[in-house]
Amino acid sequence: MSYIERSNELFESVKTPYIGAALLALVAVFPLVANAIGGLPFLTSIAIEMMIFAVFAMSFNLLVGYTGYVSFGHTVFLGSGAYMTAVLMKKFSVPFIAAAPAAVIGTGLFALVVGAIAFRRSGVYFAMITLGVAQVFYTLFQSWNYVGGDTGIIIDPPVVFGYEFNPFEPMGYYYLALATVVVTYLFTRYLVRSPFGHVLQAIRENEERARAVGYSVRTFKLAAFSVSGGLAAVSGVLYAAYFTQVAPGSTLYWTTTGDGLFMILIGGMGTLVGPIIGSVFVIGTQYALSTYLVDFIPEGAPALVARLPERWPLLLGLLFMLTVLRFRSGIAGGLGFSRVRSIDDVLTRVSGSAETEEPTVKSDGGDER
Amino acid sequence: MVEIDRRRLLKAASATGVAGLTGLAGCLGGGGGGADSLSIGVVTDTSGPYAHLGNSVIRGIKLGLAQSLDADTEGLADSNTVEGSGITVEILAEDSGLAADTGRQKARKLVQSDEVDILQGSVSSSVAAAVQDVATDASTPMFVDTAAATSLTGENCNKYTFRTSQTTYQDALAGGQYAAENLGSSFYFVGADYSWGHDSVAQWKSVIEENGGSAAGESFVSPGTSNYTPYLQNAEESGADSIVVALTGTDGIRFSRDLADFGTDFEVTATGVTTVPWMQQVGTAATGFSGIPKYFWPFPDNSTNDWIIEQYSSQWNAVPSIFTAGAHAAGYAIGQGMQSAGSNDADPLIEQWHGMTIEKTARGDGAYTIRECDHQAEFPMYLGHFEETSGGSMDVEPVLDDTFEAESSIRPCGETGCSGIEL
Amino acid sequence: MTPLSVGLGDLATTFVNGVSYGMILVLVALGLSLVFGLMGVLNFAHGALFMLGGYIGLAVMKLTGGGMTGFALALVVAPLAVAAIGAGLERTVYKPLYETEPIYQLLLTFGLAVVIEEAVKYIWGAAPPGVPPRPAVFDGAVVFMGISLPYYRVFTILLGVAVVAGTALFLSRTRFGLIVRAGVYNTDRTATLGLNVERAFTAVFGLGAFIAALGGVVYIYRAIEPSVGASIILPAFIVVIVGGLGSFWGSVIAGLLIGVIWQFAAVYAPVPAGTVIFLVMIAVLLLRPQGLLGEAEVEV
Repeated sequence: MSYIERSNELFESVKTPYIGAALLALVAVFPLVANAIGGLPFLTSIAIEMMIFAVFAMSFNLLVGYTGYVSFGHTVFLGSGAYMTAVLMKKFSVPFIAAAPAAVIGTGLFALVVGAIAFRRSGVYFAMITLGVAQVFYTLFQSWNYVGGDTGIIIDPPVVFGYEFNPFEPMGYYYLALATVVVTYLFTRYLVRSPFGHVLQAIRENEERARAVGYSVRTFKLAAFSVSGGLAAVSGVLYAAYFTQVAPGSTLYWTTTGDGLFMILIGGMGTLVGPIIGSVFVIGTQYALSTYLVDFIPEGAPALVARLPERWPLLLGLLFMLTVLRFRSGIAGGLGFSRVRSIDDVLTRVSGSAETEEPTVKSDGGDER
Repeated sequence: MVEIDRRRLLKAASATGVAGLTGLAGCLGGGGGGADSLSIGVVTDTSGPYAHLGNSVIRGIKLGLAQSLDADTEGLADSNTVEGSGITVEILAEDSGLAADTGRQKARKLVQSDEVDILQGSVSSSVAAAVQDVATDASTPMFVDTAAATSLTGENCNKYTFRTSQTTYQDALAGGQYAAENLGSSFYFVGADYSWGHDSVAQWKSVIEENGGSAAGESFVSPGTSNYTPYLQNAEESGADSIVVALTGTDGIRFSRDLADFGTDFEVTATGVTTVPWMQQVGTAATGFSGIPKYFWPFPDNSTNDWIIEQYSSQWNAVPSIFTAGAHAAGYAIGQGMQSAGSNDADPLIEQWHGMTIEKTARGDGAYTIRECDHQAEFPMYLGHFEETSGGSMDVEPVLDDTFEAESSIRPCGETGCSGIEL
Repeated sequence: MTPLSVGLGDLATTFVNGVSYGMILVLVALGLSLVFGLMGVLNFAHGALFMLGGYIGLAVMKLTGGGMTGFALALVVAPLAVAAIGAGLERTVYKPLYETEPIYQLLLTFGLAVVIEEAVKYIWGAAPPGVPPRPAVFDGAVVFMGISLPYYRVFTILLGVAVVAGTALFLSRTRFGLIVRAGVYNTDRTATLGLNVERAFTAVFGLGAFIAALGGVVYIYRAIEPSVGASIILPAFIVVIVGGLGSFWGSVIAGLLIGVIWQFAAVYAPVPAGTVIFLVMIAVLLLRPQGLLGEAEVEV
């Protein structure tokens, strides 16, 4: 603990900016280098997917890591952002440049409504209400013709100030996504270090005390939820722009929320860079296993080994379990970024039973009043 | 154990870079060779709940290619390459699960990194739409082999998209006509609550009404529902004498169990429900279904079908799925097209497939024709029911009742929503 | 669509079918509720254990040549096997996490669910497996006052009642049950009283897995494939939440109630039935956050 705290301080105070800048420079030139030596379109497109979900994971982490509330329905805001973008572009011929902010603001308001309902409860109950909301939307969108049912809406790649984004030459997407990741990172960092962020963390540490001190806890939680939802919508906007197809199975189903939790956990919960690392790792592993594992199976291998590539999710699941069992501070934690203290505090809320048994829960109901 | 797994993972992760690098060399990736080689990228479900269909489709393509190229089928099960008549075809399969975004990334990868000449897929209509979008943008021909959404060769038709599997409308035309003539006069519809289920119900309803039947009501059921009694109850209250069911996977299995257990005297026909795994699970409950518009392996009586069954059972120890026939036709069309065109370039191949009559198919010689107007294959439709049987691995066997001519089981060119195809 | 004139007979039919469906939900949710009660964790892997029970039961039936004997053996062997697996998992992978925050246990169960499902596919294949013919005893239905209830549903209901009664007896009459109930109330204090909470944890997890597997074997004759676990887990969660987290009788009542509500909604309501249970859950959580019997049970 103390070691981690010490190295944490070191990183945060001295090394981080330099390492960050160096990494950013590397990431920024990656497609250029790749292009110069002949182009790596598949790797670039996976990198874009990683960045889209890095934004999603950062938005999720803002909620989970800094307010202590775990939502099981966070994907509904990614879906909301993506669907609003696609509907505005396809059905109302709104240009991307206008559809994108509209989708983010619209989703922020939508999150306000969801939050107003869900924050009447906490812990597992909060999680299940958000899950319920997301699943209801998933079910309805599966058969709603206007948005294309389960096939979803297919749009053309966006054109911004005359520049046509092209999925087959994804440099434009790459830098758009990279810029979004950087801005989102800086924004969340600003947010958690601002007075607003301090209040959130105070709520996370002890909601009762924050209330007693005189903060309108409910307002702060709602604001955080709305911002988190709006940020998820940013990833949804990118998603729509890059994948050019928004379907309920990929953007509204609860497993996408699960992927987000996996990313936060494996990257390092409650740290600023954790979600980015987690997204890169999870998506990278998924594609590596489902695409390349088969190349490592020798000819004439016994049937059980030969069948392994088909079962790549098995390896991913084992990796997931291993992370939970042995590697809980995540990759960022291993690198010294972790804020172990906060993680422990954050997560007490997830235990519904612990809450029901603690006297705090009774007063938790005070939110409604 | 855990250590090994982790090492493997790391190895695989670092391989991302290596394999990507070989991909950029182009020719090494399989595509881009001379006129005598070709690569097909198949994007389908090979890990999820429909993996058995995805795999049966990949096998069907191999068999179709092998037959058209007169290739040696020895070891076909373990090989991704079919070689014959001086032509080498490589098949690269990618798992999409049932996710459209993953499917799209995999399709882009196949086109860009592996430089495949042809794309093929997919079990889910959502993934098929994604693959079609990529194929069209990349000017790469695509064969749809499973997905039944009419829009793929309807509103979204184009010169690059071909389909050798049946659309929901082909099911509805054959099945609906047969139902209206043989299964009663008043029909209740139970459909899966997503696009395919809604499309199927709407199309069956319109065909049944055109043929003198009437619609008594309809219900849509969320996937994963474990209790079908409300829908049977509604069907009974509606006064219908027949039910048309459009469900897939285990939903279809549970519906069939409830149907048999509640001892209703409805005539029942279905689309989607009646797969081979379904027969293996519901057993004699299958006998409640009739007028099923599907290819089942015993239906066609011809040498190609016999050959497919024989190959399928010796290579994979199973019977062909309901999608094997269409996948075989696609494979055969690709081999036939390459031999006629003497090229592996997209345009000459598309010219071949445009209006092609496929020489050998599971439904008979020359039974599949790819229409010029929408690139949808038309072929005769079989209608059958199930009877109890003893011996063999299943308790029931499909029995053929009727065959519909190709032309009468497909919408006329003017009605598909496809505005025509220009080469 | 549905005729407006609804007779009493239709309502009674709907009710009976709803109860019989609800009993399936109870069977699925009961073990989940037990494990939650003691460990305070929603076990995502519960559905996977349910499915595993079905597959092991199927293997037993195939080995013994099916029929009534095979099915009866499967009903005994598969739950025992899965209980052993569950207890083993509790010792090896859950136990190290008891000192950590509950979300880690939750996430672990998420991973475990994937691993079990994929392992089943790895061993038995991804396609729905073949199932031996259902014993002929179960064919047909009881008809009472115009309402028909198939024998297999009658069997499911009776089995559900037996499981509920057996578990209730276990909790109220055995030493383990005492520890469990004390543990639900306060794990730490129970431990300081010198009671062996650790063994109780293992036993309860095993019992939860046992009940899950029993449901899985019954489900062989509904529909079985590797992903059925994933498709039953959300309804099971909802039953547990609506019943009141960790409340045994709450889960029983909630299962039956949701079965009936769902049935009426599917027959009469104009909304997609798939959204109904989620809407019910949200409504219950807003109106009575502790669930139907949540508070009462905790104070026992």
